[in-house]
Amino acid sequence: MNDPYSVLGVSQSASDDEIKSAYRALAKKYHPDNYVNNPLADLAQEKMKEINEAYDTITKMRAGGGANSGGYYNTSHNSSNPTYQQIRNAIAGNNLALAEQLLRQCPNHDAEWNFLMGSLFVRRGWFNEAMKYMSTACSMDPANAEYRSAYQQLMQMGQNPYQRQPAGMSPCDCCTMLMCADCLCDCI
Amino acid sequence: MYGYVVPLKAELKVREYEHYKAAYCGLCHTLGRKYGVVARFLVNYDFTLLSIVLDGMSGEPCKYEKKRCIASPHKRKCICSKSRSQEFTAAATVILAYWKIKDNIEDNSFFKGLPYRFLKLLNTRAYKKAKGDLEWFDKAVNESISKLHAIEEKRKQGIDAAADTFAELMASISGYFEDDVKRRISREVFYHVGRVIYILDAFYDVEEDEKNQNYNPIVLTGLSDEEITTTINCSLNAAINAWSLIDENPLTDLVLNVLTLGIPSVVKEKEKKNERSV
Repeated sequence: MNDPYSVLGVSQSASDDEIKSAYRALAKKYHPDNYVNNPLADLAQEKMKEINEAYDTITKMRAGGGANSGGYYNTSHNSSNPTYQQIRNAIAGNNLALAEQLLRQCPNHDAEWNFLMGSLFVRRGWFNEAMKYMSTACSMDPANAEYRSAYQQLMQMGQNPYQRQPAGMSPCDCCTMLMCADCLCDCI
Repeated sequence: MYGYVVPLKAELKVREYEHYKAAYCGLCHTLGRKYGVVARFLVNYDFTLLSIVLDGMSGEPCKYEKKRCIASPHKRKCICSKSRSQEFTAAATVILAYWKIKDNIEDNSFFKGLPYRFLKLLNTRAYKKAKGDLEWFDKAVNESISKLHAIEEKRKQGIDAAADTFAELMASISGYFEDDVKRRISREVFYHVGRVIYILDAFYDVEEDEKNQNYNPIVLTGLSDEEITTTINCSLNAAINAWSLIDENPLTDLVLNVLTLGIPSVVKEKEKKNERSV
């Protein structure tokens, strides 16, 4: 395994708080929620595992064992309809052609059908179509938590990516720095 | 000098800005060296970013050198030296430009198409050479254009299907990498950036296409500005998610700047223009 500190991008002398915040930032970046219906989900999961292990190792090393991580895991949903289950498996296995074929053959277009259509299009990157199907699924079955969270996920994807800009110095940090520098000037 | 895939300069680090300029100049020099003076005019921002993404992913640091050029005869400028990514990008630029010119000739009447015919003539030699260098990419472009024509003729509804053709074409660039993981990640990045470029291009051409009654998926589907922005943001976020999976390197933040700030500001500019004209 790689050096756990370099996995988290912190130095060996970093404080516990620094490590925690580095871990949190990375966990947020690679969180499975960001990769729902994404063909790269497995790679993100690997990254997630790596940082979870690194964080675990560091906390264990520092506490002398016994610490446990706040690792994230995926929840999977199941379908009562065997065809829908087959479609879910096909989408999860990245067999999109089969999933589409099965979906097109379905005679009735209920909420779950719309949801699965939406999932298929999200995975393909056809977000405009996906949006339509997901919103239909939610309006047909507003009580369903799975559809609602998928729709919210998609809406979130539609937000301006501004807040995800590279971590650098925020205007706030800059001011604090200047203020600190000013204080120091007084000392000298 | 054109393109939608640009960084927001004010938010770049100085070294990143210098690298961006060097990559742009490097691409221009490579075009000139390999495909002649005429090809140098094809240099654009979209493909500059492509070379940066390729460099960033392959993990081979770019080397720099100082050179003079027509645009800067007095002062020597810092440019990216000859590299695999630069040569690949140059060939791809020439091929795509040639097909685009050809497409324009077919779209226009004989007289309106005359300037394009002239351009095509100018670029034929460069194209033949580039085709020899990058045969598979030429094939991919050919296929995607015929797919797009089929969609245009049918006037099929839906912006996703139309954007998919160009996005798939961009995704084929992932063939540059031999490593399987890199190929998968870059496929996602290129697919979504390609989708964004296609939609943005259609977005900027709405008025002109409406006037000339040319094919434009946004005109056909009647999507609102908000819907277009949302669907572009979805793709940008998907590209960012994919880009986050590569190992940190000196170019990661430059590409992130383009995806999080640069492209959204291009979208916003057009939105504002639309608001003003209403």
